[in-house]
Amino acid sequence: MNANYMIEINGLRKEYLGGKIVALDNVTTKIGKGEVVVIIGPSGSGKSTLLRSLNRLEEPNAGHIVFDGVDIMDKKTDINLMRRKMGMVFQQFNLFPHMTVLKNMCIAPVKLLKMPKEDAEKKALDLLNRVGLGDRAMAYPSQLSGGQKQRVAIVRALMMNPDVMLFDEPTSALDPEMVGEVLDVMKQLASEGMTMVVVTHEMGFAREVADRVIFMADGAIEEEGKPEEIFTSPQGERTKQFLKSIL
Amino acid sequence: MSSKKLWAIIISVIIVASVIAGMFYAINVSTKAKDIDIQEAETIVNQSFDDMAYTKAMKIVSDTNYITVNSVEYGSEKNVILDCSVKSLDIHSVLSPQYNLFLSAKSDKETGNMKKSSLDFKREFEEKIIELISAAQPVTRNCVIEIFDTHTGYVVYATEEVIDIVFGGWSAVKNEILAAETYTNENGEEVSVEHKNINNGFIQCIDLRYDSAKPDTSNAIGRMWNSLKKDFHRNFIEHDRWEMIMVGLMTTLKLTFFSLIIGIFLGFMVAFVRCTYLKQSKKGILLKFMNGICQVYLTVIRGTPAIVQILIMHYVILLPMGVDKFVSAVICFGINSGAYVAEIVRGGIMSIDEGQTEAGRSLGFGYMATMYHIVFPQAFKAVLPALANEFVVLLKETSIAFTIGVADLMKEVNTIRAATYTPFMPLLAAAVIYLILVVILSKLVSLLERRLRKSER
Repeated sequence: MNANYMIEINGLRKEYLGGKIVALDNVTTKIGKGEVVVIIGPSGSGKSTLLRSLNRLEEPNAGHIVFDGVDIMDKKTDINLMRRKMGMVFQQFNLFPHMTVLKNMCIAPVKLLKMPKEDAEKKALDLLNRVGLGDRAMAYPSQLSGGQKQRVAIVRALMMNPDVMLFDEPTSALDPEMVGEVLDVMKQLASEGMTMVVVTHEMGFAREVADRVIFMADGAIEEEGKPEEIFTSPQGERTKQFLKSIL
Repeated sequence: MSSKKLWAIIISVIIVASVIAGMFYAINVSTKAKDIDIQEAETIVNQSFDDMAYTKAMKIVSDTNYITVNSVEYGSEKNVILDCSVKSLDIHSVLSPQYNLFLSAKSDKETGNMKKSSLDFKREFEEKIIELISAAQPVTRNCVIEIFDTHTGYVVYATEEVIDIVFGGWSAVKNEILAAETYTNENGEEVSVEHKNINNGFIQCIDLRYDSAKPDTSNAIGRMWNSLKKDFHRNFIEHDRWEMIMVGLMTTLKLTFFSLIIGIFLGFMVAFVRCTYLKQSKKGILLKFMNGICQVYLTVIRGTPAIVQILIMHYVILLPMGVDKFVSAVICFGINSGAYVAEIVRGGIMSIDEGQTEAGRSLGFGYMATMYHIVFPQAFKAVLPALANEFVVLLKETSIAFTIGVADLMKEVNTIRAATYTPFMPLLAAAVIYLILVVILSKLVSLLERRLRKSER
């Protein structure tokens, strides 16, 4: 086991409807510490399923995921403890509508890490200031724009000091003019050395920030490599087709 | 709709309903008054005072050779209905506790379609009456008695003051009427007895009925108003009957409150089990078992009428265990509303976006903690109107607790109705009180709802 790898995925398989649909087919890859991996591919190719399998929001049928040296597919592993170290950002933000932004951010560290409330709030305000939302701490999610919501969702995940951040199409539900502000936060995060796995359709972001791009099709990894390789000289037929259709 | 408008509509509906009901009632009263046949009353009086046993009822009995008593019903302590082959004899209020005993003693012998000679019946009746008369206190004040025919049979009526002494009272009334020149009726008016004639005296007695002290010469609306006024006085003021209503109301509120607590607790537990079962892909044996129990519970409770449930719960299950009827009612209504609350809450939990659970889980919360911190608060807000509606239903439903004898609002109102023999006022009071409670409860809930919604605006 190489200590430089944050997540090792081995032979991951996910089926739906008792095997009629195979969402993930023998996926094997490794994600290094501080690496930014962008997963692209046509819809239905299993990108989100793969991402959601990493913290077992989807329950894979077979295979292993080793995170920080612990096999999280093992029944004995307390998945809740592992999830604390894996921040997740959703397409639909999933902020808690009945709590203020501050409460949204503080609830997990206060309840789970037993962090004193004052410390949590101080940290939350710090993070909010960093993403330019310092003045919205007392607002409710419904009072925020989509971009603001997603930035809050990102810092909410950061409150738990995760080792890795998982982004599930974080900009797909946003109005075009708000995409930039969210991507800026993500770029900043990448530059600070955070390990990130991002499912996205933002090819610009992939090209600029990613250390590695994974192209998936039909539940399998079709091609992976440095962004310039993938985007300028794709090898596989499927990759070429996909890139041609979106660029 | 603004709340002022709403109130105006509610109040006007109450007023219109009261007026219509009052009119019907007034018509009813006048029809009932017509039913009294004075000639008949005179005959009865003649016979009654010549021979104490010859009441109208007795006359019927003696005119027939045989009488078959089909059943004896005890409507309430002062109201006994004797269903016999001749005619049903409806005796209200006139029956003293002793007389009650007498009838129940007779019912032992006479139920079961046993034929009995009218002579035997008459003899026993007379014996008992003589016994009662000898034990009775002499009457020293006004006595109000009425005897008249209704469609159901013979109704003997007396005010409550004379209930315990009525049989002795008749002879005393006779003497008093013979001695007196004037009467003071219940309204404090002096009524002269022109002829010291026992028949007229008795007719006078009939005239002294609380609602026909003097022929009311005012117009129809005035008559209606007067009769309503008297009714009100009789049902609420007399004997401080309003206190009974207040005590009953307190019982109803207590009953609703405790049932509600049990209902919410049960409802959330069941909803939690059901939701967990429906959401979980891997279903453990324990979860399947618990879900099975919940399914049966929901099916049985929602599939049977509440009145059946309370009767079974009390008489079959809890009474043999020595449980008090109030506790029985609380348990029954708690279990009953728990089933409805469970389905409401389940709907609420299922309506919360799956993403909320995922967000909670992805932060590291366990299933229970996610439910508690994230899903339940949102679900509660979503189902609050439906829950409130369920509690309103519960408040109204507690009125059937009187079937097992819980002295709630409905029971007290019913007691008053049986004692005064006037259904309009007590039942109207019950309706108005329930309505006010429901309106207040709905108002409180809408306030709470507005407060909760603020957090999302």
